[in-house]
Amino acid sequence: MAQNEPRLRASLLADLRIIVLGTWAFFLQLLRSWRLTPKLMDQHDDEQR
Amino acid sequence: MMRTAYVKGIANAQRVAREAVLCVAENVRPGDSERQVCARLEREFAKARVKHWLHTPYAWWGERTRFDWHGTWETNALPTDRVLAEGEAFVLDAAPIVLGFPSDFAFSGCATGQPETTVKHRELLEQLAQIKRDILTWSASEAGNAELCREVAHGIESAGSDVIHTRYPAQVLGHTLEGFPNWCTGAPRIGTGFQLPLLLTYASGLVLHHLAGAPYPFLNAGAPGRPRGLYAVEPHLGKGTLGAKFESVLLVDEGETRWLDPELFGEVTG
Repeated sequence: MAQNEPRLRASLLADLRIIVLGTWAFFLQLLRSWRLTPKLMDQHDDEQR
Repeated sequence: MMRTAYVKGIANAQRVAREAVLCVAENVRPGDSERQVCARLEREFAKARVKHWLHTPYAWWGERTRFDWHGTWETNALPTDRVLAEGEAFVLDAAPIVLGFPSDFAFSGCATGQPETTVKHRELLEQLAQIKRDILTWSASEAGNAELCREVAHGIESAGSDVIHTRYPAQVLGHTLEGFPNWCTGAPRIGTGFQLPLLLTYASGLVLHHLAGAPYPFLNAGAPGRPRGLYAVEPHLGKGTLGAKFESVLLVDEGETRWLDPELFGEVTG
């Protein structure tokens, strides 16, 4: 059990990192895509094709 | 919910995703921008009455199919005004939630106009088809999650290609499709790209893994245990300026290991 502790701690930290970075990236993505989204969802956006 | 009903729900969602993506993919032409094609994908999914997503449609052209960019994946992956040139590779990837069930389908193609590149791209697709067969064999064996990821990476590298899927967030080869519908499946769409059902489901999956021993939600090099349940698996490889991937649903249950769509980009048989 004691031998497993460092490995468990490392995997816990790795997964915490995934959650924190993922949440941060989600908000960055939200800011970046705010004005893009209506254009993508506009049904007539592709008329020039 | 009965297991067969759950698998059918996922298969139906995957069918909807595949049909929309392939419908748009067959009309992708040099001169189209990533944003134009994503708008077409949005329109196809709107026809299918999709309102909720794991992630909204992505389109990547040329060197962007390799994810060689610097910085945050989520912002770099958003569709750009970059225009597809003749002979360039492209990837379309969408993950709608249909009737509460998630899906995730990706298609890789190559614009016409440069026969030499078309041949190279076809070789990448043959590699992907081989990897798809191998994943089935490895998943049916006693291989663990981490070993499966190592085997896939080794298979890609031994064919002289680059492993690209480790550049995804959490370096995933795949992610679970278990645990839906759940409390956040009906979360409204916010912006473009990854959506709340993806973020919240996998974050709570990681927490539950550590607190309650729930199965690990990702397939990556550090994943403990053996594959179990339904996964969206997305091996992604690159060679030169070309990148290619597939994304399909793998079912690993007791006594049953199979792809819901056995062929590369083929029909979802359920």
